[in-house]
Amino acid sequence: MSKKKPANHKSGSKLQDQPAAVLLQEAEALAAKGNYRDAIERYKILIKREPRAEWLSALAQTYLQRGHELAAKDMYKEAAVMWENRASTCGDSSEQATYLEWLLKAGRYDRAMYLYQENEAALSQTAKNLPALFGALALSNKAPGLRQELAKHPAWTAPLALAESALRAYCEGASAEALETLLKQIPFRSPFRDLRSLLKALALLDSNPAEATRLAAGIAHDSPYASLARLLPKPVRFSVLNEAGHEAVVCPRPDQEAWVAALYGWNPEQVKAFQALTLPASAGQAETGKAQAKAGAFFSQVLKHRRGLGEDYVRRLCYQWIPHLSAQALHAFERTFSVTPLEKLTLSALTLEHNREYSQALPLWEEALGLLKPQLHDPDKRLQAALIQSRRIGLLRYIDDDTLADLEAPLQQCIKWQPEDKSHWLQLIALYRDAPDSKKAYAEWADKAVVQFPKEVDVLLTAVEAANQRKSFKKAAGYAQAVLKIDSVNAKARAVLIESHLGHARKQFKAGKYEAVTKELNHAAQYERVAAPNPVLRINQACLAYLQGEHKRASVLLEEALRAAGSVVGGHALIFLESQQVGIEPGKLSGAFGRKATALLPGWDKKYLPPPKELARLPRLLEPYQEQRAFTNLLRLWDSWLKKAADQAFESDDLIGLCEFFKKCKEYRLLVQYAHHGIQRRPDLPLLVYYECYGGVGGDNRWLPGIMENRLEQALEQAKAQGDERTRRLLIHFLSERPIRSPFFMEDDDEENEDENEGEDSKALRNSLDERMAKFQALPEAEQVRRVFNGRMPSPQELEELGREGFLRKIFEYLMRGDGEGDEGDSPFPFPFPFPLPSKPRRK
Amino acid sequence: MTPFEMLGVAEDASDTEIKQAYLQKIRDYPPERAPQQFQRIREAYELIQTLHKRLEYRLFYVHEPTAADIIEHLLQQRGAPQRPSCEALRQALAASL
Repeated sequence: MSKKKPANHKSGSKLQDQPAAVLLQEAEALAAKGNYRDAIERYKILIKREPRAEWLSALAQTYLQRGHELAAKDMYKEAAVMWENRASTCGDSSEQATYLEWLLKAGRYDRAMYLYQENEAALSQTAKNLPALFGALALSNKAPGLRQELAKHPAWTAPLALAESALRAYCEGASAEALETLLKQIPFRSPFRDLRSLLKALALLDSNPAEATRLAAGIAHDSPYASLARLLPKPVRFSVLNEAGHEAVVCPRPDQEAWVAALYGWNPEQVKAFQALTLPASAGQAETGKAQAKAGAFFSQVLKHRRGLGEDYVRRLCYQWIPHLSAQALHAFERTFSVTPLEKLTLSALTLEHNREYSQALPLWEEALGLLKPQLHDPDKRLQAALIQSRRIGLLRYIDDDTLADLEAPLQQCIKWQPEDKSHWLQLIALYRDAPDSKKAYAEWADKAVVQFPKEVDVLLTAVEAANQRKSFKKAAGYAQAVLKIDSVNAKARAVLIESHLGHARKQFKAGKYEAVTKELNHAAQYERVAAPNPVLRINQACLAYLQGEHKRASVLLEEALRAAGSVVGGHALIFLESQQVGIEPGKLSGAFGRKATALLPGWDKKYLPPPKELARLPRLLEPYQEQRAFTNLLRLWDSWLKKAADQAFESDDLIGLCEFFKKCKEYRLLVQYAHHGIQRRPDLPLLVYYECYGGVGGDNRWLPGIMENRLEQALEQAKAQGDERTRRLLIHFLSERPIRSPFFMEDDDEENEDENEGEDSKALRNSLDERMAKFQALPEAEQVRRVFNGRMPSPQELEELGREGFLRKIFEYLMRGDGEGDEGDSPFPFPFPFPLPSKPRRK
Repeated sequence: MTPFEMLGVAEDASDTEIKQAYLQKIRDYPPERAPQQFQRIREAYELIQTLHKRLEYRLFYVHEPTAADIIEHLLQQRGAPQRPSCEALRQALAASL
């Protein structure tokens, strides 16, 4: 290999021809520039011509400088040769200590030892570190010959043996105390003095890192042990690299890394993992732009260093991480670890879910279930199948495929595979409860759930509800008793039991068996809480007292009932409803109350405006009476009160409670009234828009005009933006397409009843109206308005005056009469308008 | 750090073992003294407290780790400090000279 020569290099023959003055000038210039090699060449030519003393001195100086230059490059062998050339050519043998160091570092131990022994007295003064270097070399495995030589030397025998045994003791795990005893035997002036500090620091590294650091720092920089000592202290060896402030293992000498890391408890693979993961490029999480690529690179690093991190850990970590990454991550994971088909499907489905592609995830979960189905004899697989099915159910609910048809079979499967999971039972029961035509299944599954969970209060209470709904009051009371055995203060169970005894008491009232009534009322009173007296029980006790002629007592009990109701209006309503149930005219009972006969009758005082808080209590007090004729009468009597009260400043929860109550009672006019006024005060509540529109079309979305649809769509967006999940679902359900049903049949009419009740005329009417409605809905909105108004466009003022209900009535009129524009013939309805609107439901 | 690591239990630990480890941890890190650590322990326990939850965790748990998470795990993996053999130390000394 040819070496590139410097620009000022001239061939030997050319230099030989140069005059001495030129050569000298060049040699001095080159030496000054640090080009000692070429300077030496020129000085050598000059000396050959004439060995002048000043030239010999300059050459000696240049040789030494060249030696230092080579030593700085760890070329100690060449450096030593420079010193030897200097001695032989120039006769200059000064700087022996330097020469000895170079010899030792070049591995020429015999020569070094010989020279040292020859000149020990002089060298011990000029080169104080030489003995330490001899000692360190002797201890290292670099110079076995030197160790043997030194061991023979009387001055070295004892210190070397002590150093050897201390080193061995440390490496063999001697305690810090035992090591200390050995190290103390090494004298302060020994060439192994720094070894003493080094070994002590190493021994204390784990138990007292601060002291270890102090000891290591105390080793002088020119000591042969300094380089090793610099690797030890934590602040030097570790540097903080990542944003979390974790320390990374970064050893300044990669060749020394393995044993240094082991001192701290790391294996080389862990060290590599540390280094890779704490590099700024891979650490931290990318946020924008190249986030995916950056995350992918980080993922690859983790996979690559799985041995250092732990194979099991990395597998779990990556499994949980893949859904956040690209498809390549899954492929890399498959290449690295063995992945089962079920795991692959799960990862793909989770990735789709993570990307909000829920509908696409569903078939993958189904496929996963298909893989598990042949293995369902294994309890673990059964549990896995139940969990996956449960996840599917969650997704179906999320994307609003949550009808009985969608969820019934999956929930039943979950129950079959994992019967001990109560949530599936409760979900299925709730599904039956809310679906039409599932009352039987509702009660059956509630009973089955009680068998499975006989001591679970929530299951028992669900069964109480189901039994009550089927009017199986005795069964409900039995379940309520079971609840009280577990939770003796359960308010719901107590209320059920009170209601059960009150139900029996009412029957005895009608039969005139007052003793039996007394007994039942006393039983009911057992379940009453002192802090929360039951107003209905008090009214029934008052009725009994009245019928037994104890008018004064009746009056006291009625006062108590009003207080217990917490609402004058609600309390009066209860007296009105309850007295009729036991066959007493409310007016007569009012006489017993010591007031005018009409005082108790709702609606008597037309100027009375019930305050919002009083009205807010009505839903809870009156809900049990919703299906009674007396309740409908009550609302009719209260109509003007309630309408007047709608414009008050209700708290939003109270207002929503009232709207829900009116919706359940099918009191659509009141529902519209309260929702409408509510919107004026709280335009931020999209639920009120839903109630207003729902009431406006009598709960039947077929009658939704375009303008209402637009409002509902806006409300849906508002609910989504607010994260109001309940309103979002209500709106989606209401806006979604439903099978067309006649508005003349109530929601709780089942198909069987329709068939039984509906005559031929009605069927023809329904069909005809359905057809007309479909055609009408297909028209543009403006055309719809024009047709409803007999071919003219109404003014905005006229529309405003007409109101929503008036407009709906107009639509009915239009559908009834037909208008000759595509609808031919006479009205399909055999009697004239007014036709009963859906807002006045027919009650069973 | 996985919830198992957080509670210091094996991945196949039973409900009882996990509960005991959890109770010990919250004694070590009560909410009034170490609210953040307590919260992390509580979350870990909720993820794995029953067999059902553990299986759910294994099947569906999705988490994007940070470098800090992984390094924290690695720090937990540190073994006992090991002294070098005589030969290794002699070699290290030779290399440093």
